[in-house]
Amino acid sequence: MTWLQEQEVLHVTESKKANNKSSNPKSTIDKELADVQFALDFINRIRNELNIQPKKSWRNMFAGKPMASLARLEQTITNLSIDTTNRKIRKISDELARLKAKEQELTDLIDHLHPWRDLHITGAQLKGSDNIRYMLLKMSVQEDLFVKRAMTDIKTAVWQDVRRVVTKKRGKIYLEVAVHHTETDKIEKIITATSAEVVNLSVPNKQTIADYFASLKEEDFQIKKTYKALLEKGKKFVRMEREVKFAYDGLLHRKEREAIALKGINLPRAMIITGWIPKHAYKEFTGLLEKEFPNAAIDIEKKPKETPPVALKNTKSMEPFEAVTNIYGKPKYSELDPTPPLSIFFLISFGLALTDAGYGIIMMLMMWLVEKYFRLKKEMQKMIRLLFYAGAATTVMGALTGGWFGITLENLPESTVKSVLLGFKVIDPVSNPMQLLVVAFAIGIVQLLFAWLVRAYDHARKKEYTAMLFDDIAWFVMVIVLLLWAGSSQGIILEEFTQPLKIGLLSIVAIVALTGGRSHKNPLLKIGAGVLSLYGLVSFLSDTLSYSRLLALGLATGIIALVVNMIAVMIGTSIPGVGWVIAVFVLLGGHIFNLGINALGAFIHSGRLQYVEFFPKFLEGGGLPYRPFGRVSKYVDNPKEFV
Amino acid sequence: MPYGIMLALVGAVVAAALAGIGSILGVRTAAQASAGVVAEDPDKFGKVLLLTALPGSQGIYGFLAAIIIANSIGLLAGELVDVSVAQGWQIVIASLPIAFTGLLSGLFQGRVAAAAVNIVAKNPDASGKGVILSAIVETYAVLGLLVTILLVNGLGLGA
Repeated sequence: MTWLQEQEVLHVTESKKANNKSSNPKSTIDKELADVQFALDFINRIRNELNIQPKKSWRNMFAGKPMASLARLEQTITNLSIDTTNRKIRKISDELARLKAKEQELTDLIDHLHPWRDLHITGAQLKGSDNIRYMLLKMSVQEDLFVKRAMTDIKTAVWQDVRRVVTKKRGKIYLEVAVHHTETDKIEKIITATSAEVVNLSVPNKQTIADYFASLKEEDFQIKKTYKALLEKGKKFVRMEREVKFAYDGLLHRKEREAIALKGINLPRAMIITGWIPKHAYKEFTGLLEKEFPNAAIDIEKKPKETPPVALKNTKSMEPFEAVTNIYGKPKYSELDPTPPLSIFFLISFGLALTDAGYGIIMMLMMWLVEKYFRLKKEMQKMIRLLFYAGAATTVMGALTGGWFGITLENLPESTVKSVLLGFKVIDPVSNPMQLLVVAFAIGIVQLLFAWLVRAYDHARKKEYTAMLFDDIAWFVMVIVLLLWAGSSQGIILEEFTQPLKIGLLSIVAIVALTGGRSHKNPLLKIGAGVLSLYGLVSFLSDTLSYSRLLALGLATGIIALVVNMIAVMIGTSIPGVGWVIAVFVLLGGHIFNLGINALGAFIHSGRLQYVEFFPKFLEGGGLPYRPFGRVSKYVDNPKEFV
Repeated sequence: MPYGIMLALVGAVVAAALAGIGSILGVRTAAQASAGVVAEDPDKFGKVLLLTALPGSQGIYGFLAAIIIANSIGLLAGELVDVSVAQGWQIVIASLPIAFTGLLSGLFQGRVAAAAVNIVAKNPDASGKGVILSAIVETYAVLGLLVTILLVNGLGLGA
């Protein structure tokens, strides 16, 4: 099993004759995992209390976990004796808890005694004697006068201010009062009439309050010292952290092996495992299998109506776009891989939605730097490459619309740079948004028509030629003729051909209407359904309109950039001296914010256009992803995942 | 003339603001559901992000309608066109389709998106179907936008 896990090519499926119980009751894996987790939590706690920060390097920002091979993980489990380590940790942890509880107790007691700490009365005296009742009172400043006046009426009462704690709005007065026991009730009457409280202190008889207070403080200090010493003892476990993490993941892999083994058929002397393996990996796999396990046998069976798991495979230049497809999900095994068709459209949409050549250049630069400097996993590298291409597309689109960090090119002083940049500019989005809207619609129409072509290819591949002809090609031709006719009847293009185009359009609409309902047996239904299928034109229209969002997003980026520049110039010119420094910060902050928000929006909306307008035309999705039995990771990474 | 311009601005504002509110509320509902899913499993973030962004389209449509209205009265090019009070009212009414369809479809698309986030939580491989369901609600906002665009362009004011 370990060897299979290391190979990481077999996507294991449940064998039909597997007769295993859902889990092995004798397995101790879960308990072992819990033990190691406990050790890790303890290490973290020590880390936090002693404020030890792990050394992090910038280079590993995207790959923060330590790496290890499977063999190393197994080795760690045997080397690190979890039981003894955990026993020691438990001892320390319990002791720490006990000390903390004691300290809390002491702190409460100390707070309670705090106002009375200077009194030199013993506990015995506090309890009073036969004749004298002794009381400690706490009351607020406002009642001070009232209480004291009331007490002057009591003949045997003697009192003294112990402490006055006065803050701005309130104050508390701590009083010690002695009175003959016959007049206790008078004092009590005063107490009930006001908000004064009698304070009870439990002081040992032989000690004065002051001494008791001091002794409590000393005890607290000792406990804090012991606590710290224990933490230092725990420090040595922090050094073991990496090993403990390895042990955890090693156990996790063991658990995975146990779980997968349950999917196979376990015979007394053999084990049968069923699964899927990609064609291109088959030869190598069988070769290696023969070497390692010469007694193993492989059998391939082909069953009808199987649903193999799906993995995407594309050329190196198309690979980054798999990041887009993966967000949607895998296509079914029988469907096409949408990654190559979506590539160019995604880039154009992204570029149009983030029209600023300056931002595009920054994106390209950043992505190039990230790829050079940081250690990346393969999946992350795909995304970085995708963003690099997207930056390039943005630069092109930005140059075409004259957006360079939101600077209006016309306002620049004359120079060769200006004329070069202006030379690229074809459309001005702010003063002429309608033109750009038409461009966005055009992109939409092209992509939607292309979707039908992709579907035609798919039908041809499946040898469904009638579908290809009447569902895809017919609609494709119909829309094109429709657009040509609309254009020519408005006098924009091909004016001479208006009549022939009209005839062509009507005939092809008739073809579509007649063949749209061909799946129905009833001829009336055929015609009816066929005519209804023309409703598809409405959804085509609504899909096209959806592309108008590209104009909106592009405009938004451009206008925000313009405003950032305006604010920076205003600040720069109005505040003397420091003005320009602040303006630089405003520029940096504003443009970075603009780039961030609008790049995110452009990515999401370009993606959304693919998923909602493009994909559903030729695929349904919902394919089972290819997840080979291999590495899992919680605290440790697989070195093979990295570029 | 100033009242005509003011009414035209009201039209633009109503389109952008109401459709925007629809998006705001819709995205909020979807994002709250998404946050719950991500709390349990951060790896699903990409899929729920897509669903959360879907109700945001109505705000964009409202923005577009406002731009088109502003463009038709010459606001963007810098030269205001003469707009009579009657024409101003025409623009206000023409802006209503996207305003209301944007508001309500954004609101309800948010609820559908939140329900679709549930699909992602239980069965991440079927998230595409949730996206489609959510996008069906948006069709009507698109139609509203189309009506507004046609009406405003049909009024043919100045620019």
